[in-house]
Amino acid sequence: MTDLTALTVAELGAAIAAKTVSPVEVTQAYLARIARLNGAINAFVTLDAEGALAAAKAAETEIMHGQWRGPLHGIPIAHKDLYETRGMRTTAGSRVLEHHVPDSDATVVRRLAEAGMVLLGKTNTHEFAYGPTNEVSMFGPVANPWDTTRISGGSSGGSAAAIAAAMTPLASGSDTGGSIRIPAACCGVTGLKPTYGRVSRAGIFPLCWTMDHAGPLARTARDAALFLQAAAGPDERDSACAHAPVADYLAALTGDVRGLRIGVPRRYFYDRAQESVTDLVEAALAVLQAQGAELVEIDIPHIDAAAAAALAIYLGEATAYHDDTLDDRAHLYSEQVRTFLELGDQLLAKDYIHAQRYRRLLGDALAKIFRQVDVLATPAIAMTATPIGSTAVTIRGAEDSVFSAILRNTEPFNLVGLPALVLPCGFDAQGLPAGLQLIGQAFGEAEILRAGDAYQRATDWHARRPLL
Amino acid sequence: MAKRQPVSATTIAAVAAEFAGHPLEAERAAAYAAAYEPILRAFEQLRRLPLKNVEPACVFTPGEARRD
Repeated sequence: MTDLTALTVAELGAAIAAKTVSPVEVTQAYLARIARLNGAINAFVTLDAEGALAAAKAAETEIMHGQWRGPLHGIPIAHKDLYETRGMRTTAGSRVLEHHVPDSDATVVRRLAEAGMVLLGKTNTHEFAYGPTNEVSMFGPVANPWDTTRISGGSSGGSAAAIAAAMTPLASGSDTGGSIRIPAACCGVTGLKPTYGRVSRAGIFPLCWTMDHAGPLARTARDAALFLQAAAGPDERDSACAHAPVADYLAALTGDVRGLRIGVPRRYFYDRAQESVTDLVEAALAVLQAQGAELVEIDIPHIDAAAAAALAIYLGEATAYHDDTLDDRAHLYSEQVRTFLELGDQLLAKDYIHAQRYRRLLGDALAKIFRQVDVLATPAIAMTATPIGSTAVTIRGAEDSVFSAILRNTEPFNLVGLPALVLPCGFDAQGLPAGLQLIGQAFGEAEILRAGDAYQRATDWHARRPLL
Repeated sequence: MAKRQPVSATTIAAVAAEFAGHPLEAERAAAYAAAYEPILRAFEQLRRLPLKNVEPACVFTPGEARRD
């Protein structure tokens, strides 16, 4: 008998459309897996088995009556606990929101429900998404399914770990400095941060308004494309949501990368990453090259200041958002997040403005580079998952803080709002996954998804599963 | 530009209480003073960038109606 939790969303969708598999069977299979594994992984923080089975039954009835809504109909999904879900507790991983039950859905939640998806429950997040490790949450840390003593990465760590452990076929995440891509890399799954404004942020608790992005975690680039197709598009509830036309992402997945020019910025992105990681990324580039892509050495001016600019923006915007809660309920935050928020009180306005000016400087530099190349490729993060509780990591003989190292390669693309896709590209000697990051031009999701899908047609890293 | 003086716990506590409205305990202010030094060093990097004719990425759009 087929293990339904081993199938991709695309495969499940085809089977459901063909009526060879019922959404109820699929949902039951995932609920059984969650019941068996969540105690060890801590990916789900709220589960609605009854609601999920009822939604699956409703989907089954619709499909049997010829009312198939599309390729996501009847497929289970989990939402990061930063996304508001009507009638279902939404905590942002914080005691500040311990009893918060929203009365409306985030736009993404609503759109995926309209596409017929079945909500399993909510996934763990670093408190208010303010941290890239997922160690700090009112529910406790998320364990990495490849080694449960290691971090999942964050802040969408629950979503990534749930995909890696096959507790859901698809999950939502949010990404302010790398919070979709970092856990995707740590857990060996696929994560997409779309262009800023491509997917509505309405109903998702903000970390930094100008750097927050919503997107999927999935097994494959194709599954991420299915999520994006349903979720993308204008939304009057989000003032930053773009009116640019939504491409046909699935049609872009041709498997053909002949002539694709891939920019490789070795300075900063490669030379400060663990060699075991860069070796795997170089091997991934060789796969794409063998498929007909062309590698172009490039250098990104001023990239070294990205972390400082991102920090100024986190400190300014996050503290402004939490200002009123800090007034009277500071004690409800974790020590770590409270510290970040209170440090934001000291930020000078001019440093925030310099950071916003830097974004334009970096964006202009990248726009020039994209005249020579179609996509960029970097290691997703500088290392593989570190032990839970570690604050330092050694890279090429130099000690760095985990936070600094893990954010280094992802946060520049939050500053400039460009789309970025992370794909699993192999395992280090300890059996921990590494990630390849592909960055596209603004609204160029189709291009990076096409490259990612082509890479996954030639490799099977995305199909590997941890022994649990 | 005048050379910056190290941030003190007294300054941190005063800014938090008087400007930000979030009074801090003395030991917390002392810890934050130590934490803020490397942050300021990072920001010095931003202040040295060639930003003379570069406007901030966030721009004001007049007359845009609230959509909620």
